[in-house]
Amino acid sequence: MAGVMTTPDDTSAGAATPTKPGADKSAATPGEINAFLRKNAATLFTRVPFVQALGLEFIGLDGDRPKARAPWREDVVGDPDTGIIHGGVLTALLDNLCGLSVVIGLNEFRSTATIDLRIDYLRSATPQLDILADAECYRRTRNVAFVRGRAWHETDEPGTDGMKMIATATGVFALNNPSRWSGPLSGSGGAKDGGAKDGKLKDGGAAS
Amino acid sequence: MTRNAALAEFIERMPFARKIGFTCAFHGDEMTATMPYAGALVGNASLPALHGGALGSLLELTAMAQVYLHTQSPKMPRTINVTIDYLRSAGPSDVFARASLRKLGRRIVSVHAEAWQGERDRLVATLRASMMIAQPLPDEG
Repeated sequence: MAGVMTTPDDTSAGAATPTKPGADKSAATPGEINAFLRKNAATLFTRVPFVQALGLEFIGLDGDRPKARAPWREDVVGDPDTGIIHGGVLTALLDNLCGLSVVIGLNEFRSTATIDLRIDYLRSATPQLDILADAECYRRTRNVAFVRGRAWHETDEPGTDGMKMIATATGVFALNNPSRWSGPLSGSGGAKDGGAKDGKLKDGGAAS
Repeated sequence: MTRNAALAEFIERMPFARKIGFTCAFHGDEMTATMPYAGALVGNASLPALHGGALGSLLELTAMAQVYLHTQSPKMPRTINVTIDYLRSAGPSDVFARASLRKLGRRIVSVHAEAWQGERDRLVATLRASMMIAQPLPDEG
């Protein structure tokens, strides 16, 4: 579902050959894996088809918080009378960011799937303005991760520290064992070529 | 206006609903919404599985449509919050959804929605939402 695979598509990142640590041997260190995931955060975010369809843009990592933007677009408006973006765009933005915040803290290759997500709309978004969002994973156990996210407009109103909050999110993500359905280690990201190394990508091997 | 005509207008007026291919109509006494499978809705290309945001969008739109029908107001209901439970990975096929109003206050509605694919009993996701009922415009009655 809202899964963020921990195995980025190297091709779309511009690399001709697999660069994933441990792709040849099984011996990438935890630190190497974490560095690899962080380095590929933009790819992990952006290669998602639904993210591309909504025009969501990755901004970068602020420490352990991935940050992204939902530009205002006419085709994602939910209320024709006001021009306000539909809540589904915020759900997609926050879901994706929350999943990514889980992944970039990992020291091993796992995949994630959203278990549940709650979003509170603190105020209506303003038409024509971009929406910014970030997320943080504040607790990670062996099998689940707890995350929160927020979305806002930039503002120069005094007393707001530059952020006019639009929505907050709270969610729980499952951390799945990649051996159940490995993502692609290299190549195009399709199911066919996935799991070439530690294998076992099965179409029916669904998450959660 | 018939219920299906009202729903058609709801979709027609909302760019986001058209973008994700959302449709809804009454079959018998229940409204069923459909989000046809499209590559753009995918979240995990390896499985492949639909994006949680796409399922959330379908559920929220279904809930909004149900509230919209009830209020008979030209204004869209406003979502206060949503809680989405993702029960299974949703594969590359059409998704269906229904919503029911659980509590009708004067201004706030509690609405539940659920989504499934091939089998009605195998839900892929459910939603609970609180929504603010749009007040009729003063000059429209």
